[in-house]
Amino acid sequence: MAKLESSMRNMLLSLGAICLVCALLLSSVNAMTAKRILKVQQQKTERAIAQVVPEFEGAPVDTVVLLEGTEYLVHKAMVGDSIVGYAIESVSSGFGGPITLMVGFSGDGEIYSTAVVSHSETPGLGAKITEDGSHFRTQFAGKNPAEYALSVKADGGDVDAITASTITSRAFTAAVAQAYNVYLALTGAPVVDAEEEEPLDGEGGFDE
Amino acid sequence: MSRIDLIKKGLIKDNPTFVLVLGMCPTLGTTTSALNGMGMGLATLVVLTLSNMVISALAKYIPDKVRIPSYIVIISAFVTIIQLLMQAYMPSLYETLGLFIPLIVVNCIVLGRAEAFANKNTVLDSACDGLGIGLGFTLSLTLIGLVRELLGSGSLFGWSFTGGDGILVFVLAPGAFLVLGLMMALFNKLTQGRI
Repeated sequence: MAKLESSMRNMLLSLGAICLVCALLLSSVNAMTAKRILKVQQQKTERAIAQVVPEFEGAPVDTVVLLEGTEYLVHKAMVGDSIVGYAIESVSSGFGGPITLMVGFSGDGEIYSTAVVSHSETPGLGAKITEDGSHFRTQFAGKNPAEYALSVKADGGDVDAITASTITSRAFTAAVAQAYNVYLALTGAPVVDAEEEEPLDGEGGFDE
Repeated sequence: MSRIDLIKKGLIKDNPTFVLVLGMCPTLGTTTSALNGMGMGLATLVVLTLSNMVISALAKYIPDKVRIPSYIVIISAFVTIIQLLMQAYMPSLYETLGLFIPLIVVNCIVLGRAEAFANKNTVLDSACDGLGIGLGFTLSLTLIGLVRELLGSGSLFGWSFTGGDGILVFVLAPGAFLVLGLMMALFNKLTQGRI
């Protein structure tokens, strides 16, 4: 068969048909995978929680904290009736896009650990924030932000930045600091930096 | 040309990176480590083979004036389907490669092979061509990534053997140009007069 002639009718029909078939295919694959993708993401969140708080029993209790018009999801890790840790999701904008962190605090307000939930930093540079056990990541553990300035050394803080990835390090640190503010708002402790943060407006407030 | 030859020519004679000089954007962007380069190469290989086959099967029914938009729709549908499937069934692979998958749509190798080969050859020949070019792309990207990772981060396939950082410039964009240029020169020297 010879090639279809480029008449208006042929062009409309052929391009229309291709688009229709592709759209049908895409929507069916999307319908097929949507549930599984959601499940995979939930598992990822659960793993991140388990990684950033001390050992806990049962499922974490979720609370929503409203701070400066943004809602933060806080997962409380419980052993019996007492809270052993808080895992707080925090987002900041990095070099290549948003960086989503899970920041864990132990009951006494110290940073327990951090985990990167998602990011789009440069592989080989900013993407080093995902390396568990690297100096950049472990330096946060056991620090109490009340006496540990959460900004990179170039900005006068206490955090060692990753070489050649200052923007990423800054964003990571900002996300940790933001999570700490959420923690303060949640536990009802006074917010340190009054200029930047305002106390929680009641919703989701929690006293231990 | 036999089908084996079709596959082989993509590796050396029609190597997409060093000879055809196509797909430079993903080449420069994703070769920060050998594994990243290889992942990008393999993902492209899959998309290229599938899109070559479909385009060669449909070529007769696509009028010339709308062929480019038609190819782009087909290619991006494949890329999106692969991205969704990967996200659902291979989450760990998706975490490493996820960033690069959408880049395949704009990789001119895929469109270039559709235009230069698939739309005038049979489905099987086009599949072999896609496979060959895809393998050539994977090989070149892995090699560039290997050199950049070795010099830039002092590691091989993620296995680190130096204590500190490497020569940082090789992980950054200028290093990509340096390594690509030097490797292209080396490739030309080695194949001089033979292709």
